[in-house]
Amino acid sequence: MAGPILSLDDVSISFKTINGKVRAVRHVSLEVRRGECYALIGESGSGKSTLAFASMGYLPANGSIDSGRILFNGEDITGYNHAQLEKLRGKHVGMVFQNPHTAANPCYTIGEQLTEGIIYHEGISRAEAEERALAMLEAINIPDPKRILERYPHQISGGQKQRITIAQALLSHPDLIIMDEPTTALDVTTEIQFLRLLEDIRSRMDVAILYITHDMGIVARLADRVGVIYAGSLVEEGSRETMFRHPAHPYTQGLMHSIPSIEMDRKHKGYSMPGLLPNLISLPPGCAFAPRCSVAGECCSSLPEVRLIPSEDGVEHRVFCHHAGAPLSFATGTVEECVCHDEEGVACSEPLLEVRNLKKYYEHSTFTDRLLRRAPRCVYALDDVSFSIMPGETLGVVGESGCGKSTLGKTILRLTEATGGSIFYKGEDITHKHSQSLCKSIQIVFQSPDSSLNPRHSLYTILSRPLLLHGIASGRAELEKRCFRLLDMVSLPRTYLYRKPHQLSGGEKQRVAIARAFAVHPSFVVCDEVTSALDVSVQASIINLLQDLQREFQTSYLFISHDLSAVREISQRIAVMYLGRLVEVGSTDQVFQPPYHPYTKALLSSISLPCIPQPHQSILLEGQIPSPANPPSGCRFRTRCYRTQCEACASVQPDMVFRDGHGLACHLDRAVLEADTPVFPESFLS
Amino acid sequence: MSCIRTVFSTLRRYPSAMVGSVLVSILLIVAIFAPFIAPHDPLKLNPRERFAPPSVEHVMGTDEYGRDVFSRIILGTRTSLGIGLSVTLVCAVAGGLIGLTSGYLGGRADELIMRAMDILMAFPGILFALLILSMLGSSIVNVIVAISITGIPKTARVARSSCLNVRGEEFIEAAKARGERTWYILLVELLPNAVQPIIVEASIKVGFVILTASSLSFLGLGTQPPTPDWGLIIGSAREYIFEAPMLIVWPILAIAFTTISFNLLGDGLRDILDPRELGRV
Amino acid sequence: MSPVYILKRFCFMLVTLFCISIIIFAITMVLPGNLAQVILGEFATDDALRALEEQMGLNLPFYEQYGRWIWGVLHGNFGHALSMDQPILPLLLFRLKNSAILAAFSIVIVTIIAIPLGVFAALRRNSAVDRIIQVSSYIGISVPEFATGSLLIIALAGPVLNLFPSAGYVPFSEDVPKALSHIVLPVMTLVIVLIAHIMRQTRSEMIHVMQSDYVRSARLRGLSNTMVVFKHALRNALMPTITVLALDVGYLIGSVVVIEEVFAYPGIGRLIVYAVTSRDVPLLQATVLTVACVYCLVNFLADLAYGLVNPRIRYHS
Repeated sequence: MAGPILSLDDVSISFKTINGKVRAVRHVSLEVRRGECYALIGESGSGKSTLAFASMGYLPANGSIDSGRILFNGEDITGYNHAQLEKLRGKHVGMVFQNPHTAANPCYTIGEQLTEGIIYHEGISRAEAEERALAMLEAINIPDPKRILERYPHQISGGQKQRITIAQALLSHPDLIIMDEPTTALDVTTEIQFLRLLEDIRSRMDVAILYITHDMGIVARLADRVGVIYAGSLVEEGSRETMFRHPAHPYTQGLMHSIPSIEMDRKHKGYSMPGLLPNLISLPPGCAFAPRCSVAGECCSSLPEVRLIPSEDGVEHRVFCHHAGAPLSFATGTVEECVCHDEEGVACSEPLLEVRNLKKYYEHSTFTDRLLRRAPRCVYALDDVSFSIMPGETLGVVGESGCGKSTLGKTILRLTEATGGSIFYKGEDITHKHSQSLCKSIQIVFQSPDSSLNPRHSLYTILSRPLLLHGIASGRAELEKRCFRLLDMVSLPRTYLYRKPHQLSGGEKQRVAIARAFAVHPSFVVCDEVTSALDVSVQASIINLLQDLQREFQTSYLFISHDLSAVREISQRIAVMYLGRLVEVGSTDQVFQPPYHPYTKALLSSISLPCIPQPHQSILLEGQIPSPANPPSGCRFRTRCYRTQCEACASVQPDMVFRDGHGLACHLDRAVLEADTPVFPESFLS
Repeated sequence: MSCIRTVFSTLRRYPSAMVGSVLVSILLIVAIFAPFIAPHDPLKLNPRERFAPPSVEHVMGTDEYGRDVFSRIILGTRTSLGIGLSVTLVCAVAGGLIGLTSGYLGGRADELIMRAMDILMAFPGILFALLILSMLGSSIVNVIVAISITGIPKTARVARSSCLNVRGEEFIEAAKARGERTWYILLVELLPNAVQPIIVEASIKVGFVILTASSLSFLGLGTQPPTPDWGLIIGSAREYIFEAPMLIVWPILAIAFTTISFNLLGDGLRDILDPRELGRV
Repeated sequence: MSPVYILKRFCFMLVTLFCISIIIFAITMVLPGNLAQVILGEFATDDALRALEEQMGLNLPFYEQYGRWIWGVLHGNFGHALSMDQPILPLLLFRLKNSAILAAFSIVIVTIIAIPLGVFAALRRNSAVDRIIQVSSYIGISVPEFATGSLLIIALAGPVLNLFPSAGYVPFSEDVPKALSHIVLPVMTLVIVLIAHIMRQTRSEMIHVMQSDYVRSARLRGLSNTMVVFKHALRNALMPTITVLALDVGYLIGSVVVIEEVFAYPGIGRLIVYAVTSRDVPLLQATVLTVACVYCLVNFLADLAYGLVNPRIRYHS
């Protein structure tokens, strides 16, 4: 092995803000070697992106490198002038950003933006540059590359943009590509295409990758070595195998245990790490993780020295912890199934909520359309969706963005009027009914707690309002008492009652949102992507809380998410949506095992699991998701279906056919589908 | 107490807001206590003392009728602030209501209201004010009415776009899902979050209104003599522009001081209330 | 750019103009005092008044009066100016031309100076130069145009430095240097007023764009500072500036009205003020409508220009 491409030597970076000096990165030393993929893991605010940008000699105006050296091919770049930095960025390092939509200039064609860098740095002609760009797009299998070059950024999809950014980064044949959470903005089926492309590039080209992410599944798939960063400090580093099998730092161990994963036993609660990320302005001396660490002792008030731990594969395993390798317990309680009984103790058999042939079309008609009496253009957000939910049951709804799953939640709450079909609640048709008692029984928790809590209101106002509105309590003293009980219920300290939402962390805000929903003892709660905006380490605690509340109040959930692992953990049954239609409904075990709808199988196989090696083969879906304004005829999935199709696929919409409560909407023979190989090995799903 | 301390510590971090609010406070005090501050009766003619140079008796000298310029400038603060603040208030309330309702209702009503506002905005402001004044006749009240009408569409637009930003937030949906009535959602949930841009727009508008009003007075179509008004003073002093240039300079300084004060305050408020800044506090 | 986009903007302009013409007509028709009374004076007999009303169609219903008026306007017939007893159209064209000269000179000069200054201030944000530019533009927007004009007269046309004439007008066809010297002060005033505005707009837009992700990604691709600023940032920053420039024409029109008064320059603005003070209704209607037309047309052209430089509109599916 040759010397490292990039090596950070005791780097510290800080930002000046009006509140004080934020010490974003502290004494980090690591190196990325030639041709390897180094994954840097951390939660939001851990300083991982700052490190990435600093490695390219780029810091915002208020940031500065306080100490240390950043060596690129042995040369310190911290003292580089403009020209040297330009050369470094243009020739030797490429970068792929988090949000493909904002990273491209809307004013210029893709071709223009691809070629300008190499024209500038290598002095080649425009024709030559275009030829190289074309060759690169072909090399990474982008369909119709000639036309892509002529297009503007707003004319192509996010997934494609991200692949083009890779082409851009590769064009100058760099030694290193830095990727800053490149798949966070992408759907799973697009993400897997991107990851496959990366694997392919690595096998063909000699380029090192510094991959920044919080997704352990991707790390397990791609990385050679892994570094974990917490509150600006590197806490552990080692080979991928070592890090997944024998993590030594308590934080790494906690992180590994808190990932909701397919392989986890559903009967066990997920582990959630206690505490919060420390404030980077006033950091305690010593180990930053100590306040959250169960083995922390007095020695932890001094900075831990690096410890080398012998590893099986001989790759250096460094840990920054006084108690590295100390035995920790991540045992959690078990989840008790919530079974609902009526007053006589008989298990309920009537569904709580039933949806029949629900339709929601958004009509768009412009003034000219009306003038010319043209039929309005429709977006088919929901089309013929039917399912039912029993009392105390959780139905998970999964699908990619734009499949209509959020619309489903809103239509059930009657926040938008259904275009057709009906919703029954306890046997009563409530499709077009608006009443206070219904609002009380059916509640919703939204994706982003930043947006769902009014920033101007204190928690007291937020929590007491539903109580007042529905006449559950009145009077200051009683309301306050009730609010305290609600805070207790979601394990928030009572002192929070008169705080405003912005004084709380993301996970805490989500707890408030949940408390608000449960203030009126609803019997049905729609959870719309409730964990998506949260860090991995708190996701599990939110799911645990929901499960506890469900058992206590015998509530039913409609759990909408794109995260299949989270859905599997909480749901008894799962519904899979594609382009506004349900394609599969069944119990969690049924959905995770054959027979699969071809789309379900593709979706399941796209997940990256935190296991080495990946236990399953991924199916790559071709093409883009069609627009819901212009869905394909017949089966909506047919344009991307990888199975041999019959005539009916293109002409007839398949009906949902049930067997043992497991519904599939596919024209293919059930026997064929049943003979399908399982995505995950049997032993995996316990 | 803590509230005042928060306000003070915030102001300290934003110098333009600090300076702006101090200057505006001074102006308000001057306007309120103008008759006590002014050493002379601003309307009292004194033909024997025409164009007197600055002296202890007349700090800024006297005008063509021998009136004390300093007193007229001080009293002019009342006229200018009176017009500026009342127009701004009318615009903020009327425009704010129109914009918020339009944005919250959405659909065709919204389209109709905003198109109407677009059309009103397609009229160069001062021209519209001239037209209205020609219809209503010139007086302070009519100046307020005319400038308000030309100013409402802009405020309505600001209010609408801020309303649309807030309307998409999930806490509005949450309130609907909870079964809240429309008025509650509008006033308690939406308004407190949508009001900031309207306040910022209003505080910047004060300066603009004072400029427009003084232009109208200057043209002889706004406030009428002998009201002490800065625009009017300049308008009538034009005849003696070379004989007594300071007669023009004093009111110009007053106008500039006032508009700069309000603009500083407005810019400062915008920085403070910028949602991107909120997270930093 | 799709023809549909152009057609839409054009239709919007027509509808706007139609509504504006109604507003203008409605407002001027409810002027206090009967129009016939204004013409004939206070001591006219009732019979004479009635006869004149009949002759002018003042007793017809509103929509018919409006119809007659707009029909005439569309045929280039603006009627007679009551106070001057001459046809309005030639007067209007002459005054419009004079004002257009002022406006054109100012807009060109402003664009040449303000945009580079704004960009410069944004790039050197918080430097001494930026501060100076900021403060002076602050003063620029805080002083009314008639004040700026008066100060310029005191400074440059007074007894001390008699460089330019303080008032009046000489046609370009007569004597070009003299004509130029007459418009120097009005144009200078307009430029001072507008520069501040456009510079502030350009600066804030440029700062916004310089903080965008695509500018950062351009930097991180190793492009030179010149390329980042002039190729990637400037074009995006100037797009909204086009719209602001067009809106500023409205501002300019207002300033022109006042400045023509200050410098006794025979433009359309002064004609409007004259029409208002002399209560000449047909003249008021004609002048205001003309100015509104100009403004709408400028905004329409700005929309087209915006569509041309913005690929999102140009290639909208």
